[in-house]
Formats: sequence, C-alpha cells, structure tokens
Amino acid sequence: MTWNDLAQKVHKWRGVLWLNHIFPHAIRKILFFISAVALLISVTLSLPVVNMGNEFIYGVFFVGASIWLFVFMLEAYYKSYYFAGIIDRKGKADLYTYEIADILMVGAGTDVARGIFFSELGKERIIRLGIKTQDVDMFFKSRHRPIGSHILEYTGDNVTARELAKAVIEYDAELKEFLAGYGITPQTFVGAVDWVSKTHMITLQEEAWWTRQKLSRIPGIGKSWSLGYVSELSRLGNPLSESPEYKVVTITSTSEKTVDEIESILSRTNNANVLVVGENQHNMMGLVASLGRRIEQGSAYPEIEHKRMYVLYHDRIFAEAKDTQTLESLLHKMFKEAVRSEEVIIVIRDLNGFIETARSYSVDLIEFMRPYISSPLVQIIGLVEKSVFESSMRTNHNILGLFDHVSYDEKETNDSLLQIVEQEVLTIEHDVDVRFTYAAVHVASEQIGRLFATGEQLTRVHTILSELALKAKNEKHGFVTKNDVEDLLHVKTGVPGSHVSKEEKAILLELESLLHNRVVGQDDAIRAIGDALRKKRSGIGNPNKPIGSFLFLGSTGVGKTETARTLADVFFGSESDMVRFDMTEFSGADALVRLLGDFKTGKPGLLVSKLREKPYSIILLDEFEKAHKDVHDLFLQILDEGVFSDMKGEQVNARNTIIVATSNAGSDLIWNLMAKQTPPAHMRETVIDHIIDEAIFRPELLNRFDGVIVFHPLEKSHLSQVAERMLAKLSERLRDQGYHFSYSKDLVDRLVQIGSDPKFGARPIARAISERVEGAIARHILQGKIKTGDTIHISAKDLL
Amino acid sequence: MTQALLLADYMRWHYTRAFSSMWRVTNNFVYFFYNLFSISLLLHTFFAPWKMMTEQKTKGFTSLSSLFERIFGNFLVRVIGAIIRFVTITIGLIFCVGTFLCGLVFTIFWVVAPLVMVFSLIVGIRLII
Repeated sequence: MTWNDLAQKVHKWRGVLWLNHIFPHAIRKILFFISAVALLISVTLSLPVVNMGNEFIYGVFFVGASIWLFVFMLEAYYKSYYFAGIIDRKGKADLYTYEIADILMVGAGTDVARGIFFSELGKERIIRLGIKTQDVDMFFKSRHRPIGSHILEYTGDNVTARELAKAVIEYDAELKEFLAGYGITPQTFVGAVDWVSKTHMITLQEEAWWTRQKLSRIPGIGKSWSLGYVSELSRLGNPLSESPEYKVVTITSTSEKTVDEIESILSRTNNANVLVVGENQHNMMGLVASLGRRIEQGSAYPEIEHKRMYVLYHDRIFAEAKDTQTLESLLHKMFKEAVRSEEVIIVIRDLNGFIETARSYSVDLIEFMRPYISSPLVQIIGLVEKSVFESSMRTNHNILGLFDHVSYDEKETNDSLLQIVEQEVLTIEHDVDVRFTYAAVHVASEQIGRLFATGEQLTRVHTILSELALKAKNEKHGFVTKNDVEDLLHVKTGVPGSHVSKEEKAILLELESLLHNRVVGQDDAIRAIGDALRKKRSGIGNPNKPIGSFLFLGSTGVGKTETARTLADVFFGSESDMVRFDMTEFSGADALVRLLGDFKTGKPGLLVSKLREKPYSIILLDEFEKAHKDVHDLFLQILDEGVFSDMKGEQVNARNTIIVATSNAGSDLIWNLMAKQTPPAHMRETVIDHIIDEAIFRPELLNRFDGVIVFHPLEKSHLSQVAERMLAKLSERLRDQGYHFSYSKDLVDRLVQIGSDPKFGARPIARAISERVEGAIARHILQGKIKTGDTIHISAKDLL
Repeated sequence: MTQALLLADYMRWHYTRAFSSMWRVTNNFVYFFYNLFSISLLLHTFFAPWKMMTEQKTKGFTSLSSLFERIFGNFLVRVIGAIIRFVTITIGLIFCVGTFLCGLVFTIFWVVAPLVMVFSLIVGIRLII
C-alpha cells in the first residue's frame, strides 16, 4: 500500500493533530489553570461564610466551570491519542501512535520526507542527526525531486518510525545525497529516527502516571507486618528491593528474553529452581532485579506474581554458624520458615562458592536443600559463573535434577551494548545539559565493543560518555559528535578512529621513504607494506581482520626484524609499540596454553595479556616456522577474523594490530636464486612453492597473509650503506661520551669485505664494528692516547 | 480541516474510545488500591503472628505455667495480627469499591458532559449580563 493509504488508516488522528495545531497544549494548560482559579475564587466568595456572592459571581462560576470542563475534555481527547502505544497492563499496545500518525499526515502530499522532518518530533530528529535546522529548511525549499505520497509503496510489516524512515530514504535519492554531505549514512538516519521514537516512548511511559505500571511503583503497606514471618531469612538476607542492582535496571532485548526464561522455569510445578549461568555477577543480578520489577508491577506470571524475593548473604550465615550443627539448624530454620510462608524466592549469589564453603563444614548443601526446594513453595535462583558451571556443575546430576539452567550470554554484545549506550546517554543528558548525535552513540557502542573486553565494557561506557558530556559542556557548544567520540577513544587507547588525521595521512603517503631511513634495500618489501597499510586506513581494507599481516622470508640479518621495528616506530609512534614473540620458545606442546592462558591454574596467556595491554601495535613472530602446529592454527584464525578467544572464552581483539611473522625457511634457495639473478617475482613464486613442498607452512596459512615478502640478501652496495649507518650510530655514542669520530672510506670497504658472506647478512659487519673498531678505540682510550674532546680517526689499518 | 470536522471527530471519540479509556484507568486505580493495602497478602497471612513476636520453644520442660504462658502468648499475638489485618483489609476494600463507584459516577456524568458544558456557559453568561 502507498503512503497515502497508510495516511488514510490513521485518519482518526487527524482531529487531535489538527487540534494541537490550532490550540496547542501549552495554551490549553494556561486556560485550564485560569478557569480553575476562577472557579475556586467564585466558590469561595459564594460560601455562606464570606457571603459576597451575587449574580456576577455566580455567573463567573458557571462560565468558569464551563471553560474548565471544555479544556478538560479536550485534554482527555488529546491524551487519549497522544499516549496511544504505551503499555498499560500486560503488553496490549495500540497499533498506531501519535508520532506515526503525525509523520504520515505531514508527509502526505508532494514530499514524504517532510513527514520525518516537520512533524512534532522533527526538531528532535534533526538534533540527533547533527544537522542545522537552517540547512534542513534550505534543503526542502530548494529541492527538485521530492517523492509524493502516492508513489511510495510501503512494504514493512508493522508501521514504526524506523520502517517509515527506511522507506523514505530508500525512495528519496535526493535526501540520501543531502545526508551524505553530512556523513550520515542511510543506516544512521534510520537509527537516529528509531532512537528518537524509542526515547519518546520511554518519556511517555514515564509521564503516564495513570498506567498500572506506574501506579504499582508505590509500595503497599502491611508488607512488613508478616515480615517477621520470615525472620531468619530477613536476618540472613535482604529483600531484593534493597539491593543496589534493583535501583538501576538496564533493559536490553537479550536480558528480557533471559528473564522470560527464568520466569517460565520458576512457574513450573516442581523443581522450579533456576541456575543463571553468566559471566558477571553484577549483570546477572541485573536480570534478577528485572524479574523483581516485573513482580512489583504485576506483569509477572500468575504463578509467581505474589512472591517476594530475598537475596541471601553467605557471610552472615557463616558468621553465625561456626560448626556443622549450628549451620544445619540455622539453614533448617530458614527453610522451614520460607516454606511456611509459601511465597519466597531466595536468590543466592555465587552459588558454587556457597556450596563449597558449606562443604568445608561437612554440609552437602544441595542434598540439604532438596526436600525444601523440590516443590515450588520455596524457590531458589542461583547465580553461577560460566567457567565454574562448565567445570563443576554441568555434569552434576544432583544439581541438574533440582535446577534448570539459563545462560545469559552477554556476548551478543553489539546490539545489547548499543541499547546500553543509548540508555546511558539519556541518563547523562538528563544530568548534564548536552546532546549526543545518534552517530556518536552508534560509533561509541561499536568502538567500545571492539576495543574493550566484555567484562569492562559497561564501566567504560559510563566513564567515556561522562567525559564526553563534560567536555562538550565546558566547551560550551553542548553537542557530542561522532568525531568527538573517536578522538577521545584515540587518546585513551591509541587506536585511531575511522577518520584519518592529517599526521597519519602524511605518514601513510610517505611510508616507504620513512622506512628507508632505517632499512637498507628491500624495496619490494617496503612497497608491499605501504600498499597494505594505505588500503586499510583509507577505508577499503577489511575492518574485521588485522590492519595488515606479513610473512617476511629471508636469511638471517637482512633486515626483517629491523623493518618490523621501524614500522612500529613510524606507524605506531614508538618501537615499544611492538610485541615480540620468539617462536622457538613456543615449539612444544604447551605452546598454545602459554599463549592463551591456562584454565586450570588461571594463569593468563602471554599473547592475551600483551594484546590487551597494547591493542594497537605490531606483533612480531620471529622464526615462525619453529612454532608448534597449534600455534599456526591459532594464527590462521587470527589472520582470518582478527579475533580469538582466551582460556575463559572471552574475546581478544587483534584487529588493530599489524602481524609480522619472520622465517628463515628457504633462505638457501633465496641465495641461490639471487646468485642466478632471478627476477623478484619469479623468485618469490619459487620460494613459496618450495615452502609448500617442504611442508614448512601450509598453503592456507600462507594465503591468509596480506603479503608474503621475500627479503633479498644484501648486495655489496647495501652492505656499504649498512656499514656506514652502523658507524654513524657508533659516532653518536662516542659523541655522547665527548669524543669526535671520523673514519676513512677504506674502513668501510674493509668492513664490507669482512662481512662479505651474504649468507649471514649484515651481522658480521656489526660484529666486526663491535669487536674490531670499538675494541681498537677502547684500547686507545685506556692507553691514554685519546682524551676527551679529541677526534678519533680510524682507518682500515687500525682494525684489529 | 474545518472546525466542523473536528467537532464530529471529537464527538465520535467522546462516545466511543473515551469510555474504554476511562474504564481502563478506573480499573488501574482499583488495582492500585488493592495493591496499596496489600489485600491479597494480608488475606494470605491473616492469622500469622503479628510481626513474629512469638516465643520460641526452650530446651527441656521447665514448668507447666511457662508452657501455658508461651501458648497463650503466641495465640494472642496471632489474634492481634488478625484484627489489624482485618481493619486494613476493610479500609482497602472500601477504597476499592469507592473508586469503582467514582468511576461509575464519572462515566454517567461523561455521557451528559457536553450538554452540561453548554448549559453552564449559557447560564453563566446570562447571570453576568
């Protein structure tokens, strides 16, 4: 059906919409107030006590009453439609809302897009998109190709703001262009409209004080009169409503589903106990608090509607019960009471810890509880951490018989994280008078999900958003944009956002020459690296893989490690932004455990901790061919997806790293091919074939690298350069000591001659300088032949 | 959109949707009072000891009189609880029924409300002039 058809369906709303237009809410309120005052005054004056009544006053009374009634009825009319769509009672909501009707009616005509921008919530949407109102007005005044409402065919299932926005942006190419000019993608546009809609709904829900949900927030009296009825439990625990999680309930779609599951288990007729298996006690308590809210609002299943929830505190129990007998009698008392009351749900945090401690008192808690909790008279919700559940409880039939378990998988993070960020932003905007654009919210949730482990994401969300808000407030413009978010995250983690800074642009374009400042020769290698990095940072690269991955092949001492180090220096800013692993240390069967961490001992893995420490760095894997096969498989995955899981199953992010593996494999072959003056491309192919044939690396592993780079053995001219660079470094060191250093050209030639076996690359030269040149200098200094401030001159004949 | 159309729309609302809305809100308030006075909970725990001021069994058998004291004391506490609860429940029920009646009255008034409004206006203006 077309937009027009939809607009027809909401024709019931045209009355209220038009009313609001000619007789706005604000004016109605004023009139309401005035007439009420007039009524009050006239009534007071007419009272026998005051007796100032006369015809005029009575007249005022009747007119006032009439006006008051008039406004009252109009307000009721307005409210009845304005609040359509909120949930009153068990989830029965109207099909259309005021907002939808508004959009449809305003958009009915020659330009559907007007519906989004000029309806009552239009201003809010414009703010969330981060555009200026004047620009929007300009756009609509001067546009050429609006989409008429008889053209747009609506294909969504239900009519929501989100779907309408989607439809509009699909049809309206001119609008798409306009938004693109602001860096707003169709996805962001739809997201922003959706968010405004959701926020509006939440506001309405809060304002509607006459709904059952809001009314039931006021607690009933008399709840404590039979509190003594469960005196033991109240002593050893607290009602759920007093726990901190209860006050701040964060609702996401994942958690709602999980709470549904918990509810249905609790509503069973026997063994209605739940084990909540998750990663984080705090988050799981959030679920429990959500359930508590449902009970309070009367929207829980009838079987548990009247139940009261108590959180048990282990320390209180074990503080009182010092031995087996006391513990048992205490627990017996508590459970007997609970059973008698017939309406208690006991929440036990860290159930496993509780069981273990009880066991040290020779009490088998599960067996102990069995007679009490088999029937739904008393029910338990136990919280267990995933790793513990997997290792000790999953196969324990005793527990499984009594409990059913529910997995709270917070790893469905992206969506839930977005919802959490959305909610947090609303709270912050409430406290600090700033506005976040939707793009900022979206990128914040995306990046926080990318950069931080699931455990710490929630706290990060809070701190980062607060910082952004305060910054915007201090800078007095009151807006937080996508760039603000990215800049802050860049400062905090060193990982740059998607918009490339000027400095980084310069580096990327000059990468080759910057690298050549320290690395001699190896033009192919350096070019390949430059290409890969430019691709990734210009946005074409795949964001779900590491920034770049390279396999450097070549004999020893030709500059493989030096290139990696230089890259760290040039690209990431410092050589310390490199994490080096010597794969010879990881050749045994325990290699994988050492990298990922040991589940049993809880020791964190080396790779995991380094990555978490420096998410934005180069990972250098030296002598990669020596690593254990498991390690190869691990990196197969890392190269492919950019993420992997540690021993606890938590995700580790390697998407902001450059992975460089080096290998001496095939170096003999390389040298032979060099001697035969093979062209580079052919050499590379031959070397790769050789590696595959010799089963040094599997083909699929080689394929995963962005570049397999063959480092050439150094030619004589290169060696000269290397020698000169090393001598220059020596010169610097001597200058620090207060000596001047100069050398003759024949020294360089002599050094090159000494280190002339290309099989060993540049190392012999380094050794020669270290042993012979430095040795000679040292002897001269000690013999007193050279003093501070002197110029030391070395020529070939001075070499030892 | 003309005023006449608005009037027609309004009238249609006034005599259809308005009633269901009113009914729903009245219901909410009745439920609210039911909850406020914890009527179901109090019924459930009607004979429970008042704030659990019961005396516990002591070990062993001390004397007959203390036994009777304990039994009588516990009984008394339950009676007190029952009385207080009874009063509360009654008040709560009165509120509930009262709310319901209010809703009823309001509904009846609503039917004639437009007329009342017009009438009141006419009367008022006449008195003023």
